[in-house]
Amino acid sequence: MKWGPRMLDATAHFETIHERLPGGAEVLQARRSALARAEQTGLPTRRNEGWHYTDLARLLKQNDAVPVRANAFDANALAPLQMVFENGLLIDEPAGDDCVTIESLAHALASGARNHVGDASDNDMAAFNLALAQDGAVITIDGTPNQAVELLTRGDENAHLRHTIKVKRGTVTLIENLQANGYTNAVLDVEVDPGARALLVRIQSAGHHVGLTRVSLNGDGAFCAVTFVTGGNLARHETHIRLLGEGARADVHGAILGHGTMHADMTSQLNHEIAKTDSLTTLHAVLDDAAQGVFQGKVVVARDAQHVDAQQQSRAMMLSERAHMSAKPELEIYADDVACAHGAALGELDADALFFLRSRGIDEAAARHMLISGFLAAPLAHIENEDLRACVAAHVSAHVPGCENDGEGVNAELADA
Amino acid sequence: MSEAKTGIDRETVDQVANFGGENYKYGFTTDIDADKAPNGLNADIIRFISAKKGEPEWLLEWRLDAFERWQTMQEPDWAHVDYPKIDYQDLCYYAAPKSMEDGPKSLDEVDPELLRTYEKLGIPLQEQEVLAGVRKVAVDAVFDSVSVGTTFREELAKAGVIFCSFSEAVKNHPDLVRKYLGSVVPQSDNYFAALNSAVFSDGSFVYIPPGVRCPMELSTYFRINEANTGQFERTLVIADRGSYVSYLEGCTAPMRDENQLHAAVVELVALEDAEIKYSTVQNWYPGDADGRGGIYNFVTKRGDCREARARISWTQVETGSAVTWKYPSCILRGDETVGEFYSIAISNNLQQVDSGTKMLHLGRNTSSKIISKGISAGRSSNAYRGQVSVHPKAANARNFTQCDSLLIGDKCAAHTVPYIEAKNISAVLEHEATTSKISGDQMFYCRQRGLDPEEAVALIVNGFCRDVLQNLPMEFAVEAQKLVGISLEGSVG
Amino acid sequence: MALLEIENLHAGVDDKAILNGFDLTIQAGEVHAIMGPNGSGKSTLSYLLAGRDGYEAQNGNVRFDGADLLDMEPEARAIAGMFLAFQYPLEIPGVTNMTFLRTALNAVRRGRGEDEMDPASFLRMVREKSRAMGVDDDMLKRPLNVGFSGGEKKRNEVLQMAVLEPRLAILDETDSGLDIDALQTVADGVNAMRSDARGMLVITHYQRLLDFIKPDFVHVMVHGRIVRSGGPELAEELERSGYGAYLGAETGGQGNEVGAAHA
Repeated sequence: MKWGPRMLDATAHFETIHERLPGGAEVLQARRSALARAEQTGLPTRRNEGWHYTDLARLLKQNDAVPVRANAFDANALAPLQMVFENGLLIDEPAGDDCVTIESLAHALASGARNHVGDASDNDMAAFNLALAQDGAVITIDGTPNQAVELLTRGDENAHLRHTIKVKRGTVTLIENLQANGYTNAVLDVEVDPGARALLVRIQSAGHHVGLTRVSLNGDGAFCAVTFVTGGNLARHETHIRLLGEGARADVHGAILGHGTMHADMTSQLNHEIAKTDSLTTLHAVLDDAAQGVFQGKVVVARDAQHVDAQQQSRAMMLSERAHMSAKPELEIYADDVACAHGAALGELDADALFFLRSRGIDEAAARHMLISGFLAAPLAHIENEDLRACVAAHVSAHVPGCENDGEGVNAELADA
Repeated sequence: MSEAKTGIDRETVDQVANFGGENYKYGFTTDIDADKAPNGLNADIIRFISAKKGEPEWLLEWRLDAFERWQTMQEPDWAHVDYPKIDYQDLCYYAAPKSMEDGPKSLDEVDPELLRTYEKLGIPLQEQEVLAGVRKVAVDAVFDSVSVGTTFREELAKAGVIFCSFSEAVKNHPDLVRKYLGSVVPQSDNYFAALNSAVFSDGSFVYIPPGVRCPMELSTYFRINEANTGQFERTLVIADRGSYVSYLEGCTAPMRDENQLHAAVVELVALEDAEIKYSTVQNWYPGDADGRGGIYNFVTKRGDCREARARISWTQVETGSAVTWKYPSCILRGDETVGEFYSIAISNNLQQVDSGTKMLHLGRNTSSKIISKGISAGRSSNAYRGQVSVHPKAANARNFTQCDSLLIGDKCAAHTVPYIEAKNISAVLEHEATTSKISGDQMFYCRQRGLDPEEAVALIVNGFCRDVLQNLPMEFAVEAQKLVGISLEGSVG
Repeated sequence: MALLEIENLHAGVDDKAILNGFDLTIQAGEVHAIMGPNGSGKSTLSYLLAGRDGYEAQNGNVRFDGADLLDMEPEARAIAGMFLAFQYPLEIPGVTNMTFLRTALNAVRRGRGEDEMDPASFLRMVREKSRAMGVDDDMLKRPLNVGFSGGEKKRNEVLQMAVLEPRLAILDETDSGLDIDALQTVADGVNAMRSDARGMLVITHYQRLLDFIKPDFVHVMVHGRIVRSGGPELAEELERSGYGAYLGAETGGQGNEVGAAHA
């Protein structure tokens, strides 16, 4: 079933699928109360400050898929531990290894290992998710695994996925590979213990995706997310991070390669709840055709959370008359000894740089491609694993407008980053 | 950080915390007979105000229309401010000194008590008192709901400049008022603008004819005196083609334990090649150290660069009021128009500020610049909220925004909420924001050179504000600089 | 056939006339220096020759190797062998120096009908040339000019010249912002490029650079045209007496020397 306006009726949807939803009576009760709450508030509208630039109801009705510029992202070369979710259901459960314990949410709920109760949230979309989530990944990391863990989403149906990742020790690299053509509502909860690190690389190349990532960083844990939106009609990636221990470090980076009528919204809120925590939030948007880019970043520094370093940077490169960009980098500061700053810049390709390249013999199309790729090197550089970075660089490069002119050179460039 | 530095910081912070409303030197009241409307707001009160002012029928209709719309509107709650609900039926919407009952007279006939009040405030209403060597400034003095006098009218009239109270303008220049009133801030623009449109009592009116460079600075001095009275003035400045005017605005109020509402509307219209500089030093009573009393300053200020190459520049120094909610804005409608906003907002004790600007780029080749300096001390909260919006047809729009916050002490808060929206490829928008504190090193350096902590803080804060201070007319800059020091008195560290 | 032939060139930026009947001919193998005070139009000349947007000739001809230069796109000029060492080299974030050099060289080689250079030979060639310019591996890996010092940027410009091997190199105020050691390195790099097949145009305000790069001809440029030409001795003379006489001549018409210059 394709996403259509009638699917906005979550109650009807719930009634048709609730018998197939995993979990016992207690879970079902939690689902019903979440649904009641979700239905009461409905889909968030633009009057909701957090959705000011994204008209969800309108975008969800938009059914014509944005033309595909290049292939979906393929991380198989890295041989990750892969979990494939098709139409909202895990199709096979991989074995973990010494450091990784993997279970499906459906399994965990059915066996009573998780009860879903008390998982409420004040986030409207998360309430829909709680009510309707059929499956997801439940992963515990205890030590640094050899392989990355990939969550691959595909299919044409609506999907509500709920992933829970707990990193007790070591560093885990997660790949969220979002290829589903339908509507996906995903919630990803990450908890990172002191000394551990979660590195997330997310690529959305299709569909209507509304995702919420909630992260708790205990002690000096670290979280780094790098999200690339290369296709799809709607991308809403919302990240909430709580920095709860001294030395915690959060990175939230995004890149949008907007074309067609894509609408990509990167929203984040970083709560520095304690002293000596650092964060860096960036967005690099390249907007072609009638694409729309949104950056909403909020940094909150709590009372007495001194010596916090929190930086936000949003940069957009406009390639078309019809492209739109909106940015709202917000600071809310309650401590006085902090280094907080944000910057936002927006403009066309730099004409001087273009001339400089052309004066060295590079034709205009290749020069443009080179500048755009250079612009996107910054988010790529935040991918720690070199092989993964090269893999993402190849995917990104194929989506840079004008790549047919000089793909190879720029591939190399991106991989160098 | 070393012990010594921490010590200095602590001391500074404590000093700031000790500072209370008693430093507010304009807190006296004037004992003067007033003619007041009964408390409450309804159509009859509006008719009463309109009748008091002898207004034409169209203006009464306009007010009643605004009132009707206001009743359907909700008080905004999105700002970063928190105050008890205002009972709009428990306010007085009109108060005027009895002696002014028959309308403005020549300055010679103004009640001497009123003149003494303005003298105490440092505002000369006697033209001969203008000192040699100082540039002439024409003053319109607004006391509670009415204008008590305007200076240098004859000299201005020779240049063709109209500078008078709003009430007089309605009588003597009804066509101009009717043409421009509400053309920048419509009646239903927002809750407080609608309220003002219904009940505004007086204010200033300025018209600069084509090609005229106004021969002196114009200024309005607002004073709230009566207790439990709202002030709702309305200012309209029109700069016709190729003209120039610099306009200053100052405000004070007595110290009172209850809060008072000030909901003003300022509309600026700049036609082709005209330029308006509008400067405000807002020093309404901020309330005492425990947050008792003070003015609620809910103001709508907007300028319309209506035709090509018009320029509007807002400069504000905001040190007073318990709660401030104001966003002086520019509509850059004409091609090649320029909008500027320079702001210093200081909050201390329990003051709350939510202020900023909007730059709406509609015409081609428009540019705007925003420099905002927010200083928070005590337990205050200080928010910058600004919007830069480039519409699809606004080719080659440029904006630069610099938005800095300085925190003094660890009980205050600073927020920055910019909205940056571009719908045109050729827009180049830059936004920078920083948050900082006065460092122990800076304080130590100043003190080692002989400055006491207060002087040092004033010096550092003035340095922090320099980009904005230098945009004020000279007369105001000096006053503003002192005000920066006074507002943070006892707080340096 | 002359390498570069500029005839009666007139040009302006934003309605302001900057070049007023500029003439200059450079043969292969020659090094010419143009000296002039600030605002004389030196940088406009270099941008116009390289084809920067907004710099249009209103009148006159420029022939490069026999072809009409003004009709060519900037990259076509580079392929034809025109190289401008920028006074203020651009910083390009995200594009490493090495990638930039390889992309530019291969573009130029393709344009000249040559094969692209294989990666191994390219690496060898760049390493060799960068060593000579004191450009280390780290500088090659960093994004183009980002965070480079003034001296590093200028060395990098000369390295690009060495890699692209142009027919005509224009050095626009290449000495500005360089200390004496950096100047020596840059000049050595430029001198190593001197050959019978290559022309050079050195644009400078000061004579200092010409102590290191000895020109065959020196021209004085004032108000958009050459007011006097001579040999290297002219540079020394200017160092002693300054541009005052020429400036006065343009505005007030004083001094015999200027009359001679026109002759």
